[in-house]
Amino acid sequence: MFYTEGANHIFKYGKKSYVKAMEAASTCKEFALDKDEDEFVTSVEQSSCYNCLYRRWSVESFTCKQRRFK
Amino acid sequence: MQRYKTYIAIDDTDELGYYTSTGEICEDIKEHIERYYTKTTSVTRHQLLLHEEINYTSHNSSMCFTTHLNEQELQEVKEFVVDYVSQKSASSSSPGICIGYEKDIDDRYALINYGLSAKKRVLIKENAFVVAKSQNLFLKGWKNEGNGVIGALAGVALRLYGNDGRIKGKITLDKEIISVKELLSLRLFDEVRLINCDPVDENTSVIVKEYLKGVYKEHKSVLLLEKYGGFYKPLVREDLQEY
Repeated sequence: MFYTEGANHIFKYGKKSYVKAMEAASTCKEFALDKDEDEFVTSVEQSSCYNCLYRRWSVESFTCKQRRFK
Repeated sequence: MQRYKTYIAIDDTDELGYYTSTGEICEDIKEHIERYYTKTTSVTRHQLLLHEEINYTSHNSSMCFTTHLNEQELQEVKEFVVDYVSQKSASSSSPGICIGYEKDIDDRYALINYGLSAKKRVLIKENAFVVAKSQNLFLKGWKNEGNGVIGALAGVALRLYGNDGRIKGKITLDKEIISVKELLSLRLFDEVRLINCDPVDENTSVIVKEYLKGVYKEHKSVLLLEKYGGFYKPLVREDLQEY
């Protein structure tokens, strides 16, 4: 789901792969919902890296700043 | 003393994993003004450039709202905002605030261009202070590098532009079907528009499965809809990423 560039884990699938972002969140120990609901980009019924407190958006995708696999 | 239209914007107050956000701090300031002074308008969230050279936490957006204050109130509010943002912002953040009267802005087109450039280019804070001074706006940054001044000034500029950003917050209704006419009568939004620019039929029903969320267009809060069979449905988070 992610590739690494130095210490950064970058999500491979861009900004609109909603299912992949949910799958990635389901395998992460550190997932935490963003504190600001206005920054959610998708439904919160299921955890998604797109709504995670630890993602940092880039032009093409996002970098995960905290990822640890379950 | 006469009150004048006042812009208030803040940026860069959090850090990774922080307990609060710039949006929440902005809402707190708005609440303070409503409690002790006067009415305020909705907060708009303005997306700025995403770029590796910019030291944002997660999404590089700034927040702005307007109110009407007299000169004494303006001074008091400035002091409150500086104190409040100092206390609430994260230790590794670089908060910036921008406050000023619309009537004092010297060249609104130059200021709007600054805001639009913050969506396209990496800017430096030194230039933000030059622009703010020339436009008679109060701009202050502190802690760390104080780079939040760029976003705060851009927040005022983009709000002044009137065609940028999303309205902070969402609205839930107690029913799933409502006609456009009834929706407008609730005065939750200034206007309702179809995303494809077709005229909106006020008698058509809107299916609201989740919530309503507005964008800021032509200085109005606008609910965007799309056709959905014989109905309309509101655009939701996934659809509004570009705003």
